[in-house]
Amino acid sequence: MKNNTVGEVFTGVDGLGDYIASLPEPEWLRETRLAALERFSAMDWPDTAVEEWRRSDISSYDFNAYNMRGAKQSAAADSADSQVEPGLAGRIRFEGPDAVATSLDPDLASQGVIFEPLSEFVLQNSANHGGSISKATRAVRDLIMDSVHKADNKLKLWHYAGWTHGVVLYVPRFMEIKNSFVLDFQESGDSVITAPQIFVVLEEGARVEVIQRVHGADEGEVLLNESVDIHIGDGAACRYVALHNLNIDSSSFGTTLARISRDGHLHHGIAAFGSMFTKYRIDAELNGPGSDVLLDGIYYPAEDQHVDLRTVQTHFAPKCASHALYRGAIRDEAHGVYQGLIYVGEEGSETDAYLTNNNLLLNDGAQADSIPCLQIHTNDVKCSHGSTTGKLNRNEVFYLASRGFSPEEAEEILLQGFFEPIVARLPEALQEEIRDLIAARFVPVEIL
Amino acid sequence: MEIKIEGLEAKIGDTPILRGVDLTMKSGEVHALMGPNGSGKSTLSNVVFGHPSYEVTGGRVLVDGEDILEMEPHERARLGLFLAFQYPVEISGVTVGRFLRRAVEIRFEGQKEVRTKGFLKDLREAMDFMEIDQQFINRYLNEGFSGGEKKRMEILQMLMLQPQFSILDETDSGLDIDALAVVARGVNKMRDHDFGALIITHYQRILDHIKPDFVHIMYQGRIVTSGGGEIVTELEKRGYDWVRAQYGQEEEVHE
Repeated sequence: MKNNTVGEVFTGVDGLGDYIASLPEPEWLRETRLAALERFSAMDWPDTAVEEWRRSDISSYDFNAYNMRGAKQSAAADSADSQVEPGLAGRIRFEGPDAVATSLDPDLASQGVIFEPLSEFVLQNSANHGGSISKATRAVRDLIMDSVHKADNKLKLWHYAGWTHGVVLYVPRFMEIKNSFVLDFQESGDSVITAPQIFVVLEEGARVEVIQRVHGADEGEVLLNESVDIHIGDGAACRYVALHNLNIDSSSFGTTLARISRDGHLHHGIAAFGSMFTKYRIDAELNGPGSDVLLDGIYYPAEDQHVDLRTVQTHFAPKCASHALYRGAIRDEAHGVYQGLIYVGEEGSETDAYLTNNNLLLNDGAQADSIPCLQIHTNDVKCSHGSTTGKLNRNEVFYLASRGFSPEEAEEILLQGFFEPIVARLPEALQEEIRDLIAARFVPVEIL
Repeated sequence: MEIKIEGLEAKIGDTPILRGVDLTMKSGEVHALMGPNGSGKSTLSNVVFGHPSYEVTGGRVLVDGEDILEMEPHERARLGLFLAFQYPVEISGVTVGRFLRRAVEIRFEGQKEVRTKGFLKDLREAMDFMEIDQQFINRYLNEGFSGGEKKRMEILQMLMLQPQFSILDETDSGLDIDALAVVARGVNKMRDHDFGALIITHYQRILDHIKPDFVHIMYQGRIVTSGGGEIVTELEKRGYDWVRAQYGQEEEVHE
């Protein structure tokens, strides 16, 4: 193993091999990167001939034009003792790949909760530590291998070969944590690849809430390629809500894959505001009977933003429930794409699943594609989907006007109201932030 | 407040609906506007409020001498006019409490400061009076409400906004006798020298609860006869066929 090569910069996909070789990582981890690299090298970039990528053309990207570097481990170590803020379970703040502040409620730490930057976690769980690997390490390794195995596109494999930084949250059995964990990613620089990897591992009966914010500097083009891997043990419950708001020159690629065991529960939310181009996929695998998932999504592209979100509700066990609700408002020349799949395997009897996608087109020229899909391989299921695409309702504006609301205020209220059923069930800490982002995009169209 | 409708004509698409409506109403008066379906009653209320689907082709609507037809709908509302809708729309994501709070602020802008505590007290009292459960404060406006709940919500809004003149567009339709009594109670509570109302209805039933000072019969886009309560009795006895026979013209008018 080489020494820690802090801050060394590698270029694009061609630099991946050198990047992996430079990292001071234990063998078990390097193997996962190499496994991903091998599959990566054998695969073509997804093109528009593939249904999932049909509306999101990435052929104009030159992925060799971006630079990357790994996390500076010293930066995280210096800050590991930050005081946790009141009302939070813990918080990690990244600037680029470097963890600049890390905090964890000491009570939780003493009860076995792990919440730390991946670079630190990896160091502490290297083979030099006496050869045996911890339960948390095994869980992380299993998640990576599962994701590498299931990855069906080159971008995802690129991520697993070349992720730059990340977080591990590990919660032992039956630990119910009321306060939230917060992950702040602040991206900056130009022509920079940032590839954060987040692990959330809940043992049996554990409960947590994670809030993730991805922000960027006002200028500079960042290419985000993130992955979130979640394991929800028997009867465990996780709420994971992400707010993505990189600047308008940046691009966001990413996947979230949650595995949910017997009687487990996931509430996932994503609010996509930033980036010129977004292609994100959320996979929820219901692997144990009685598990359930709620997938919430908000998007509001403007100017010539392109947002393509895909959810997959996979029922591999009986008596599971899954609901997806994605709402998008689309303005200017922007393009919103939502693809939702409900997949029920042969084992998925007594499934209760639906997905709903509503789009508001705020002007001519705005475009929405809504592609719901059901694949059901067993009987005795309740599955449905509904999608609507329309404009602001003139009768609703008139109704509000008859109560004295100006057309501008009426339209703004209706737009906020359109998103509100989703916003109102997201973590309180994010609600005002999201409402403000919605308000900031408002331009009256005066339909009365 | 005086509302003077003069020779009002309006069409939707190419179909004329109002063909010269003349009607004068003042605060302190309750008017009933009756007529068979399709006679233009609901169109009249929509045109007075400036619904964009209707095009005014003639006439004036004067409020205290000022023609309001060039005003935006919200400007008309801010004069102190209120419309209780026949089919109130659902406003998803906007709670009754938040909506009414803002509507009351707009209504009394520059007149009195709306404080949260006082507002909530007034709202709770009005809800009790209208027999609406307090939990509705946190529900999205009209979303999932029954027909009767929506109508009561319209009257609740009227109580909170204290308009000087209110048009109630078939507020009685679809209500059972108990709900009708509650709605009528709300309107009667408003009745004084500073409040006027136009009650648009197809049936005489609601007029047993709210005694009108004037009754007008509309047919084929015009007010064909006006009078007092005796017209209601006449209608009750003879039905709308009498109106058709007496005032009918060749052309059919569709609402």
